[in-house]
Amino acid sequence: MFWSIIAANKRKTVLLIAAMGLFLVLLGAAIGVFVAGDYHPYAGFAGAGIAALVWAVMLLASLYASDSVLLSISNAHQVDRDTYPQLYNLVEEMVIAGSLPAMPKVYVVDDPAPNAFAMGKSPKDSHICVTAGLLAVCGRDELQGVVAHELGHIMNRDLLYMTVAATMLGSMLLISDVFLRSFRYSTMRYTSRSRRSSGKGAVVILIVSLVLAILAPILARILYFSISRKREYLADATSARLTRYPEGLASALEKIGGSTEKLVAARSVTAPFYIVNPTKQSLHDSVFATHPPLSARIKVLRSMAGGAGYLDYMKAYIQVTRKRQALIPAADLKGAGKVEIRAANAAGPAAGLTAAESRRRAGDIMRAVNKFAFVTCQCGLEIKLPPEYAGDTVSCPRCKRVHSVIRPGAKATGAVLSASAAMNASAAVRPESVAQDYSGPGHAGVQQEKLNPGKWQTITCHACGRPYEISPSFGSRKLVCSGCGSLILFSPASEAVHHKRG
Amino acid sequence: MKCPQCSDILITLEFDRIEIDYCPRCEGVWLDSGELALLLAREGGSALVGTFRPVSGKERKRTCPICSRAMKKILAGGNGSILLDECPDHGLWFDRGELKKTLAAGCSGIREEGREDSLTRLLDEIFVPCGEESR
Ligand SMILES: [Zn+2]
Ligand SMILES: [Zn+2]
Ligand SMILES: [Zn+2]
Ligand SMILES: [Zn+2]
Repeated sequence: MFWSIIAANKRKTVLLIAAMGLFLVLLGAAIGVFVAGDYHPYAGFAGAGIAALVWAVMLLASLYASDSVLLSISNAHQVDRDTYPQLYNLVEEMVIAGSLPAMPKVYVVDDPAPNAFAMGKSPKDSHICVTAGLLAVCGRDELQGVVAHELGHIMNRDLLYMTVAATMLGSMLLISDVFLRSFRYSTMRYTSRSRRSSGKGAVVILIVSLVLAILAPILARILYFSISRKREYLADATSARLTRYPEGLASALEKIGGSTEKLVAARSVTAPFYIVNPTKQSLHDSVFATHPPLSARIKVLRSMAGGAGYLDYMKAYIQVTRKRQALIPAADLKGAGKVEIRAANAAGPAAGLTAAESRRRAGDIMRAVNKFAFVTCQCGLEIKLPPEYAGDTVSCPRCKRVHSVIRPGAKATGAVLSASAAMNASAAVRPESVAQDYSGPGHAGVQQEKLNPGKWQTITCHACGRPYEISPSFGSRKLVCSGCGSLILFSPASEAVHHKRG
Repeated sequence: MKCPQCSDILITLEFDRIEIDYCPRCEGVWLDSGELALLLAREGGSALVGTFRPVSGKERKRTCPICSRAMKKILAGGNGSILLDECPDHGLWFDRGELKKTLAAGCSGIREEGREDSLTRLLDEIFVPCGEESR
């Protein structure tokens, strides 16, 4: 734990709230004087009062409602152990590794662009969100790296600061926008008046308030963005240590950065929350970048030669960025033990997934989250039934075979397991493997299998143990386990070869 | 999503990386705008979209299954013989058989020697029972 960083984060949050409050009150006063100063002597105070009120409302909103607002902007659907065990269990593993006091709520965001973010005011009440696109392209090691990075933000108390800063930034933009509007409206009135009234004094007030209004959002942005950059490196360091496998996050960042999908749900105000800035893919370092350049973050992670601990990250960080200033205060590094880098789990999906393929995978993950039922017909046609579909059976439009519909429903894994055991006694159901479904090799969002075209193949569902015989003429890219509803994806053997390794 | 024609629930079908929404009752097909572009790009038949012309149809107006707004009537195909419903934001609705006709029209123009009309073949693969396959 970075105790001094946590303490500094808390201090900075209070300071930021106070500084922004003061700034808003000054801005409000300036606007008041400018707009109505000639008619009402107390206009400045009124303006300050209104600004203070806006500030207070924004502050309360940022403390009590921001999570739900930001989550709803982002199209997030909550999942739990029953609805999405692969992801939930992986988060839980990392929560245990980082000894967080409580399990964060886990969400899948309906978006084909790969990305992730976390939210929350304290480690006891936090949210972690990954997009369907991320689940589609990442293997288990990569997803683990991303999840651990987000937990790093939660552990380092970055999120309260970021939430407050985001809301404050929003309110500043709002107030200065109102001001600039009123300025446009009143310039004509002002020039006709300037000859008879206070002259110089009014001009000074005008200039000062204009400068304030223009500077406010810029200042707020620089302050807010420059701080969130260092946090990204720190969260990367935490991720490396928790996963003991820096390459996982490095490879995930590469996939996220290389994606051509544009995040639909992202707004500039929510941008700093994401693991990779969703609004602009800037390769160069700029003052306005919320995130350090991706290439540098990946390089640091890949330069961690000696181990996965904080000291190793620090060494790599200094070597890559050539920055002298300490990323992690010396006090926090005391007692940071040696952490060995672990071996890789099986490789994730190929790096060379086409945009169309990863989009389709993301779509299926979203359907699974939204409780669609999946039926794979023996003829190779895949049928996806929305939860509103009323029938208990569906007939394949291609070959007219009739299939019974197994709904993912609220009962999910445990209950379906027994139901399926009763329904199909021939399926080898191994209850003990349910607990390990997430530790199966190479799958994160979904189970991955290589397809050998033209050959018979036996595969087993990692979640419930049901075996499948895949016929040589199997035409589909995926199979939905009729025992538990888990998604199993097939990639042709040739595709998986192109997997990039650092 | 509900069928614009008969209000039944649409189901999604996937075959060989093509995804369509299908009404089990009236056998109409909904294509998301992105999905249509994908289909056409794959076949080099993007010219098809160029043949779409808006028209004031007498046929009953239907509503988009995604946004529930009234869809526009358009004419497609070289001789403008196929009447389709389009939501500019979300996609296209094809009554039973119309998708096949449209794709056949769209691909006939670009067919060169050796180039198989694989779109229509694919639709055949989706809807023609395995036993009746002539290949
Ligand atoms: Zn079938
Ligand atoms: Zn299963
Ligand atoms: Zn219908
Ligand atoms: Zn629409």
